[in-house]
Amino acid sequence: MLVWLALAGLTLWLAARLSGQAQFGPSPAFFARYLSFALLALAGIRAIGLAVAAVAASGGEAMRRRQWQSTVGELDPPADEADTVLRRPGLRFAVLVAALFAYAFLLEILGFILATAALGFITMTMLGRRPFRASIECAVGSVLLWYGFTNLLGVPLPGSSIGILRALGL
Amino acid sequence: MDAFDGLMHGLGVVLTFQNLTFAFVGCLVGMMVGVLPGVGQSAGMAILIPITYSIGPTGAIIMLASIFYGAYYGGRITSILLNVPGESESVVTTFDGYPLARQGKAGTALGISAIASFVGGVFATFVLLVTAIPLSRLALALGPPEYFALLLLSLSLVAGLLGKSVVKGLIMVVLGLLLSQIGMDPALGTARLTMGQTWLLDGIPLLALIMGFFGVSDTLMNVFERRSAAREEAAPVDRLLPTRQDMRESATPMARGAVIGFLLGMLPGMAAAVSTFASYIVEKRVSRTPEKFGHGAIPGIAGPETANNAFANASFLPLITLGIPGSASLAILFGAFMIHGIAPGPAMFRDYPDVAWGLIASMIVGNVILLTLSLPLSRVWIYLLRVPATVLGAIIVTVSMIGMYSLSRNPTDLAMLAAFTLFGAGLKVAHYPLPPTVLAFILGPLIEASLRQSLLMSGGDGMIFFTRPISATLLGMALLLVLLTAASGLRGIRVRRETLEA
Repeated sequence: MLVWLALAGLTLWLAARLSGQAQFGPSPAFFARYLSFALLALAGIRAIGLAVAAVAASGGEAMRRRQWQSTVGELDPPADEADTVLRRPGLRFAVLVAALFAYAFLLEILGFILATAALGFITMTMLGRRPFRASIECAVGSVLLWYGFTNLLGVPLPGSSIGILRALGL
Repeated sequence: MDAFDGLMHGLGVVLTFQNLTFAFVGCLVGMMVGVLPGVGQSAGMAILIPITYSIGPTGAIIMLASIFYGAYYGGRITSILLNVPGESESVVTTFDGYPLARQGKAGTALGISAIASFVGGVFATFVLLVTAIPLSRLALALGPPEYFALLLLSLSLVAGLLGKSVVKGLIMVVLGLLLSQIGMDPALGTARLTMGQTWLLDGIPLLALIMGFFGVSDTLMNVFERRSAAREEAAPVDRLLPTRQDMRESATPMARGAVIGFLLGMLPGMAAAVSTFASYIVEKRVSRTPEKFGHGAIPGIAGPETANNAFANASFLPLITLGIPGSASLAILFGAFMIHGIAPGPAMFRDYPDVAWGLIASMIVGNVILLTLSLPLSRVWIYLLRVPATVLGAIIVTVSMIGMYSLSRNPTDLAMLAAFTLFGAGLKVAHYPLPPTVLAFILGPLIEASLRQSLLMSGGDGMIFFTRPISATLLGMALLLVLLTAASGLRGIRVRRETLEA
């Protein structure tokens, strides 16, 4: 909710800094301004809705918990023992997103093959693959991708900008 | 060029070795995307757009469109054999398809569903063929105020129909429109909402938004998923061709399913799953033996599968005649058109007849390819399900990043893709529907242009939208739709509260 309000405020401020009038027809800022006001209004409606729902839920939740206890006898449904969940999913997700940003900044420094192998390795291991297996698969995979994109599809991909890596053909 | 000449021209375009190969590859990839749970059509198409750069526009569009409708074919196979729907619209097929497979009639279920899919796809393509030109002429006759109202109606349909909350849907529409404002103003060249950053002058790359919101964020969010340790065994497949009795039982459900699918498919924002559920409900209602449904009723597969594929092909109608993509996947196709320098819409039949007619003809050819492929390759798709999600995830992430980079060779675009991945994941967690943002982002420049032209025509008077009958009617419909969706949402909340209090 706060995100929408902040975003609406930011766009309103940015739109206000643009010239208000064009010589003919509407100014470049007019649509952005209307949209910012619309976002502000919608965020307001959402805030009211959330407040109303929170008030209703404070009574409803207690009722639901009582119903659940009377019918099932315990508060949390038992987890399916056949299913597994990766440990620390939040941390894994954060590592994956960080790896994407790192790839963006390191691609032209490390070169395609190394950067892609590293990204593939992090993705595979964070999704639950064993590191040894993932390292071999990613090394082979990144070379194959390089070959496929550059030679078969004609898409040029960057080599490393570090001298020693370039000398190694990366 | 009339419909028949257009079809002949289109067939001439498609029936070349090169374009047939693209259609074949697209159908294969589409079926694969449909089979794999967790890899949606949008993700599949977004990832493959970069691969089409080196292909000409006609081949690229044929391939991407084949992926789109191929996915509708693929979903049914695992639904029947494994009780695992690859896509949401295939859920209905599990109701009767899987029980049939357990009874040892997996081949019959696969055969009926393949034929039903073919009938639905071909029916919708022929109706599309007949209606495309008249609708395009109508669209070309619309002035800027009418076009603005039509675009607004489409966005309200998308905002209202996708997702549970109309307010959330509208917030996502406004977000998409705001994102489309970033960059240079098309009329005056002024930098807008760029915060002084030169790398934002070209605006936000469409592919960064699409891949971040769909392909990559879906994959990364797999870390939160519960994974089943048990592996379901596929049911054995017997004879694939249905008997004459099976075909007799399926004929009328197929006819009804085709009409339901086509009518619902034309509406922007409608989910394909609605067409399959609607068809299933209709079949159960009209059946003399409704108790058989859920236990292996042939009409329970034939109707929904026809509706599903009629829906897929009918959803091209608003895209190619009005330039309005009705779903996230079609928005991606819209993006692909733009990347290849083609503006989808009514003028396409005049300016790019090869692409327009080739696309329509490719749907007929594609459906024949899919029918031919789907039966013998059933077992192959089952093996495909054994590819670990970890490997698939790494492929999706790396190919998306390479694709993004190859478009602009600008690492900033990769950072934007990463940012949209994070943003998209956050929005998914908060249950905000993402397709309205993508559609609004794509339609934003068109909406702004038609709004500007309208205001220029009227000297800045906004009443122009309400004094012209067509635009006033369309805007009234948009408002009514939003109000109705909001009212139905409020009614739902009230019913839930009353149920809790009871």
